[in-house]
Amino acid sequence: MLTVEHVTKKYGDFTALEELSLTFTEGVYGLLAPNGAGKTTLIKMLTTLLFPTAGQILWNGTEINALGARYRDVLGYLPQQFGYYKNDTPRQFLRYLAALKGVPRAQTEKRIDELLSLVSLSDAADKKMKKFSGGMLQRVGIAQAMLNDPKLLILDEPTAGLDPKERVRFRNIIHSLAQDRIVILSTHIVSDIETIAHQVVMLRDHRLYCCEPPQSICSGLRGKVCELPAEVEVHVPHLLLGERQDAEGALHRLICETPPPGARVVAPTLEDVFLYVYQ
Amino acid sequence: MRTFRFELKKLLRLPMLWGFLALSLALNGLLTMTAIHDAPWYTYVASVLPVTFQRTDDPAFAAGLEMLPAEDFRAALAEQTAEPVNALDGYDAALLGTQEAGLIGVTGKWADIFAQKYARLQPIVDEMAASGVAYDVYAAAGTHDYQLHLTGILYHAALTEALLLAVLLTLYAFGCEAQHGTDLLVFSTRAGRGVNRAKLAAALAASLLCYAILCVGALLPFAMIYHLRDFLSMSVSSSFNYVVVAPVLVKPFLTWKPFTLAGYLGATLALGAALTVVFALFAAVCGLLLRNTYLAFLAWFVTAAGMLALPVFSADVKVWTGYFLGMCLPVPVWLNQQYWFTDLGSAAFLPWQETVCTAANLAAFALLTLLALRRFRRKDLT
Repeated sequence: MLTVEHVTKKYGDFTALEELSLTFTEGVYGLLAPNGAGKTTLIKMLTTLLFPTAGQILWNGTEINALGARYRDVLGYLPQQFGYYKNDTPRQFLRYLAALKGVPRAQTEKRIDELLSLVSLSDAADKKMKKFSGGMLQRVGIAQAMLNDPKLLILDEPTAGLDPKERVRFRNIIHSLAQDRIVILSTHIVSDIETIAHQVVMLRDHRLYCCEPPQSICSGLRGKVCELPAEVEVHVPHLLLGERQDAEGALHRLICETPPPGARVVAPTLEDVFLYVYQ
Repeated sequence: MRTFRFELKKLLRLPMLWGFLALSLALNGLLTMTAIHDAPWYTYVASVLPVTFQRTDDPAFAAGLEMLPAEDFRAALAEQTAEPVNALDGYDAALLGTQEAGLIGVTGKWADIFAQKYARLQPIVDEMAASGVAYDVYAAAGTHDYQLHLTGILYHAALTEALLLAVLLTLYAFGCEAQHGTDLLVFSTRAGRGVNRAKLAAALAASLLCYAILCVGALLPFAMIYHLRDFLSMSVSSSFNYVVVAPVLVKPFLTWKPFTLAGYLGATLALGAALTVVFALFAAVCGLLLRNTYLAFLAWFVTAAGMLALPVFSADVKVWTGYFLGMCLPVPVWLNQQYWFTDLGSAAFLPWQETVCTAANLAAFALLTLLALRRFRRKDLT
């Protein structure tokens, strides 16, 4: 179990995160917030790259920096900017990281083969990574994060820059990895976590806004999201969420306390909540 | 150990390293050939040694020379050794100290310390004079040029290249993760920030390996062309060897213990290896504090230039503490390499200053590196 207790992170006068308290147990957590809200700061603290200014982070009751290597031993991490050695092949790169992660030498090759197969990169295992697409690189990233079979898997913006097909493939991989471990998936792409997250953590104004299942979060807007033909003007206090096309033509999607005449109430999605919370 | 091997491999796979080494070896090859016009003389002196032996004051020397076929080189060698000279016999180290002090104008407390150095040199000069090592023929009239070419030019070039490589390799070792964007990945693994210890060990090993390659690459061709092996048993304090301090001041090659050329070369190579480690540690401090190869190199360069400037400006304004302590820093120690293990003239206030200072620099930079490593362990990696 991973526990964040009253964690604050400041950079000089700027407060990136304030008084954050969270508990993570097995399952997939979607960390949802717009850019600059503190997602990466939280993740870097969870991966021991940053130190909290106040508060503490505990792994099974012990402070993570006190655990040091024992904590990082259960950690798999894919950073937002996944760096790699351009002239290395995935196999060479994974061998290096396996050494850093303390994977026993005897198991390394087998583990690398398994993971490259899992991320469908067996055919490219010995090709230089400088020729890889963004999606292939992210799959190498996932493979390296899984090298030590982590109990805690942290993925920071793993689908940024991927095309829709790669994103779907990526979501499927994450879904298959989510057994018996904590997966924290940071993103500002709502659809990434809508389908696979058990809990969604939302940050607002550098504080925790909520940590609930997606259905629970969406239920707060039940009866308040509606669609109406685009010809009808939308006025304050109605909040326009967006437009979409259907067979009858363009539709406005909006949030309102009382649906205006002609509007059709629809089920709220996580994206509606996102747009509403971060308006 | 496994991580160390990966880090070492990372450094040894750098094309820049092998390019630098190839250029250095080529340059050193050219430097080796600059003394080729003297090669026939060295060859001749080396060839007569089995007949004449090495001491010019030994009657066997002149007798042996007499037995050799008459030729220009024999005549020249006979003339140079006709009246054997023991340059160390009755040599006044205190007077030398006064002359050296006068050249830079040192006064006060530091003049006394400076004089004490020469007082401590006198018994060693007397001991060497009594043993007659100054009678060693070495390369006769070519000795000064031989020694200058070997240690002052060729080894100096190899050492300079090795020090530069040590700095570049170490800076790369600590900056490459940030350069490739792999730093967050690497420092969040089980090894964590502890990977820096493996990086440091790999940088030191790679630096010493390069030093060894450069030394062998410089000295081996020299040894083969200029018969180094035949001169290894000669004393470096032979009367034929001298140091030009100023146009009006020429002194014998006064070492703090009697050295044969083999011993002197061995000591020089060992001290050079230690200095290479000092420079690598110096770069490690910059690399660990800045985590950016280019910025760290700039910081290193500015600091190294400062180490050079400190004694120069201190001497200009006659701040002798700044001057003499500045001379203990790694860069001036490197610059004075040609005269290591000698009295070092106005550049030193201590006996064995280059050795003492290198040991002190090694300890100081090892401590600074440890502090930088500790600081890194608690540093936010943004």
